[in-house]
Amino acid sequence: MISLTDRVVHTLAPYLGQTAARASVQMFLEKSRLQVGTFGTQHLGQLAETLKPGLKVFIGAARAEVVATEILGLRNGG
Amino acid sequence: MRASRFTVLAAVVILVGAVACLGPWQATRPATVLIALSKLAGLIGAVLASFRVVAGFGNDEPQRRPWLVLAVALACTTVGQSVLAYHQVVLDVRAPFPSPGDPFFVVGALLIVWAMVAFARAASSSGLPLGTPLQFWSPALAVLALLAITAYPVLHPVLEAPATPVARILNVFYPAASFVTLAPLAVMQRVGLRFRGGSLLRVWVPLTVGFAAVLVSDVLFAYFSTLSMTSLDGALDFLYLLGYWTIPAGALGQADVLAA
Repeated sequence: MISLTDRVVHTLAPYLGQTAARASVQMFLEKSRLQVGTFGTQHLGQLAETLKPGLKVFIGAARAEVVATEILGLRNGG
Repeated sequence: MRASRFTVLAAVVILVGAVACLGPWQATRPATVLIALSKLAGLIGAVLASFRVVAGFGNDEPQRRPWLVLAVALACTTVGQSVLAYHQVVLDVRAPFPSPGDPFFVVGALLIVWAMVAFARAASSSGLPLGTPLQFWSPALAVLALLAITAYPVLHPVLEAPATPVARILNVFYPAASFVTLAPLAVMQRVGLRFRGGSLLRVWVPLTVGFAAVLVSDVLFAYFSTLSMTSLDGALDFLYLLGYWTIPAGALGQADVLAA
């Protein structure tokens, strides 16, 4: 079964690539003092808000908003 | 036009350009006309693509301004290149140096420095995992170290050579501006490579490779023109052509990301 972090990475990878996408999630986990096992859907909102400013720089506000919404959509198994 | 389609077109033009620039016919009139017009076409493409990126960012987005400055810089460079192309294609003479195009090249060079520094600073404060500050800025430090080592050997003959004051100032300005621009450019190249596998790689790698080709050509042009060496004109023309057709590929990549 694909983990939640993998699904977030999958959402970011089309823009950032696998490596930077995974590093972005890892950075969030470290900053939030979470581990892959404890990372759950309740953290997706915070993750999306954390990544949005950086994404805006590279992919624009509108696209960053779409990506953030896609991340939040993973709550519903999206 | 989408970036993927443009990249195919650019590859064809660069290939034909390589044959024209590096073959024994490089100094013939058909090759000169082809090279001059190809460079101009690439630059016009770069201007249009950059303005498309500007339009893709919202009015209140901070990244809009550096892209706008870059678009204006490329427009200035295009005007400068048009002056050179006018001499080569219409008047059928070697473009003079300095030429009426140089004020536009100078303004373009200054604006490109500003835009690249702005891109690097924005990336640095983006919050994405792009390395420690030292890792992030190390390519710029490496370029500046290279500048410190090579500045004297490159600029000394330029300063010593007989030239008009304006030509001498320009021959110092272009390599100096190029080196300064290469510093943030190297930073953005590293950033681009961090995005391997993602669409942002197709923005920043072509963009930075394109500008690097142009900037290296500027340095070599100043050096070789001072020494009156024309045997490398074809190679320099090719580097310019490569740059002018790679930059729009990166800008179109950014436009595609914004419009996706």
